[in-house]
Formats: sequence, structure tokens, C-alpha cells
Amino acid sequence: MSSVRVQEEDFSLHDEWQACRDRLAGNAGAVVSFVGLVRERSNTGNVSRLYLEHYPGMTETSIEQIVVKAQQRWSLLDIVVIHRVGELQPEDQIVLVIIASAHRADAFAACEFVMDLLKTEAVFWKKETRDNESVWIESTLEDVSRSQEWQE
Amino acid sequence: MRSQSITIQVKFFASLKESLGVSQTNLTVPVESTVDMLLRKIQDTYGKDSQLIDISSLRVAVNQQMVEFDRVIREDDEIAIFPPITGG
Repeated sequence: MSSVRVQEEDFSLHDEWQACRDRLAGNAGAVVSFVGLVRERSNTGNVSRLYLEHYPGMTETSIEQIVVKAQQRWSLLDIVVIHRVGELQPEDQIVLVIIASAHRADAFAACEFVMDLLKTEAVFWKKETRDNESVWIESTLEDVSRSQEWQE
Repeated sequence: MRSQSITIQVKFFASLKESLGVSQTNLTVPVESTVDMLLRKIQDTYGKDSQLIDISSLRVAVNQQMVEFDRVIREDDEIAIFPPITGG
């Protein structure tokens, strides 16, 4: 099972976690969840706003491809990915990943894998506003190297 | 000859969309044009007086799949041009 959503609206970790639990109906031994937040401090200054643009259709497909890679690599029962787009502010929730598996090692590893690949392969463009200046940003070297580490 | 050209719709995203000032446009190109020829047409149309468009820095998706610049374009293709993705 998997679910990928790209949306402007905020999400509720509790509601999504409960919905995942309900779908699993007692089969899982582990549910790992991750929530990413918009940081106030970037490498280049204080961020007052973050704008995420996406390509409807292609963005969802790019995330679904990451989900499939995770499913091929680990034994997983459910994956939920929700990614927000549009105007966000520091401390806003930006991404949710929930992964359920029979044993915790699979869910922990797959959650980190999905997040690392989201940072480099998901079709988004980000614009930061800092000190009254808006700048389109690029993937960081750290993001790229974390993603490459999974490619063996 | 008219029949030897096709009109295609092209979408732009992110900084490219801002630079061009449009999110999509219709362009007429010769039949059997490649992505590279389309990019040059866009550069001629929008970037004559500036260095707004650095073709080598752009990425192109046809029907929502990333393609190389030698890909031949067809009339019903969905074409999108954008800078490298930032990721989520």
C-alpha cells in the first residue's frame, strides 16, 4: 500500500498515523513517521518565507518512483508521503513520511531513504526569502551526497 | 509551407517562468524539430536582448519524462522547460 499527496494544506501527523494504523489492521510491528519543518536559519541567512513550486502530475510521479524504489528494497506494509507546496513560513510542516513494516529495521531505513531521495529526486523548486531578497535555491551538496550513498 | 510546421504548447516553471514572465506559450516549429531547436526558438523569441536564457542550464520534460535535447518533438507532446529541480 502507498499514498502520495502534494498539497498546499497542512496535515495532521496524528490523523495520518491513525489512518495508517486502521489500514494495517494488526499486521505491522513498526510504524516510523517523519515530519520535516521549514527552518528559520539557512546556510545563507534568516529565512522569512519559503515558496515551493511543483509540476502537477510529474511531481507526484517522481515521488511515486521513490516509493517504488523503497518497496523494492525493503519489506514494507504501507508508505504515506505528503509534501506541501506554495507559501510556507519557518516552523511550518513541509513533509510527512510514514512507513509501516513487520520489523522496525525496514521502516527506519526506508524512511531515511525516502527522505534522502525526496531531497534530490522529487520535482520541486524552492525559493527562499531572506532579508527581503527572494532567491531560487539549488540542492545542497550534502543532500546530493546523502542521496548518492544509497546507490551503492 | 504551413503543413510542415507544428504548433506546440510549452510550460515553464520556477526561475525560468519568472524570467520569461509567462507560465506557458504556444510556439510554431518545423516538423521533426528537436528539443534543442525548440530551446533556440525560445531563446530567439524571449532572450534576444539579454542573457535571460542559458540553454545549458535548463532541463526539459516531454510528457512528464525527462528527455535529452536531441529528442524529436511531436504536436501532441506535453513539453515543460525548467531549471534543475531543488528537491523537496
